[in-house]
Amino acid sequence: MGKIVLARVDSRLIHGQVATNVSKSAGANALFVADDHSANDEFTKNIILGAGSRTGQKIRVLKEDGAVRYWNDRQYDDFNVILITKNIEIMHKIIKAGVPVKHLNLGGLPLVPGAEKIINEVSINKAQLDLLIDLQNSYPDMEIYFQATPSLKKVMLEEAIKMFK
Amino acid sequence: MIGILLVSHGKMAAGIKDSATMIVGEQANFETLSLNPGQDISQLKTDLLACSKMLDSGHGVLVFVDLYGASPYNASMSCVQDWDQLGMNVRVITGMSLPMVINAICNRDGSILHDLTLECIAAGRENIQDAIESLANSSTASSDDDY
Repeated sequence: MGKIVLARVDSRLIHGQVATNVSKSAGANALFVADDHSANDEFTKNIILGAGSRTGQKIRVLKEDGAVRYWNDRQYDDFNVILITKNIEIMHKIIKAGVPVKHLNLGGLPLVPGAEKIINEVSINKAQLDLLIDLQNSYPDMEIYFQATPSLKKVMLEEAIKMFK
Repeated sequence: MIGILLVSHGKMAAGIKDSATMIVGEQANFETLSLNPGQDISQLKTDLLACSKMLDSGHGVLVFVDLYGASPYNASMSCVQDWDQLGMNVRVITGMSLPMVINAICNRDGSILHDLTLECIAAGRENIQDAIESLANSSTASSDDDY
């Protein structure tokens, strides 16, 4: 039976920071990207698979509902997985569908109009904050935090909530 | 911890350090030196020796220089006898690149200098790809399930 060692939201999906650093520190041997756009586009999918394969980890590009079905059917086989989505909405949907996540890392979301900067690399709007709060209420044991790379400071969800007041 | 020193003409060393820091975060025992227009090469040698000594915590120092045979290389090589006399373990890698430096940072813990040097050189070579060609030739096995 596999497990998710880390769930990460990052608009850039797999990139340098994730490939070299995040995966090492989390003790993962697989990176699963859950993203309909990438899964349904052969070219994008191949770029992710090609670039990711250099890390020596098992790389999969899943459909968003595929990430849920794969868990329900085979519990991600025996992989220790970092599950990556490009936004909070997709991650929320997957976790609420029953995929177990203990550590949710908000790793990279650009500063767009209407968003509040939590850390340099991560900005969210009120609706996204509410989704995170909903996850925290549904799964009180889940660690939800903002951090770009493991060597940088963690900002916990509670602190982020205060920034919106 | 193995110390890492980057040496270049102009801003390349500082630039690589900046990029590496963005990717893997702030690092200890990681310094840069640059040769600037009009600067005396013997000054670079003096700085290089001082900086390498400072970076050596007993596990050795890995020096990256930008070009094989150019001034940062020459300044490094002129330190070799000094390093020997001081009993320091130092390796110099030429043709510095970001992937090599990141590899050095990420794998220096629990690695001996000799192994780390070879690993960095391999990582640097491996990172040089004809990207579009590589993609066309990559066998991205289609998965046998529908997830």
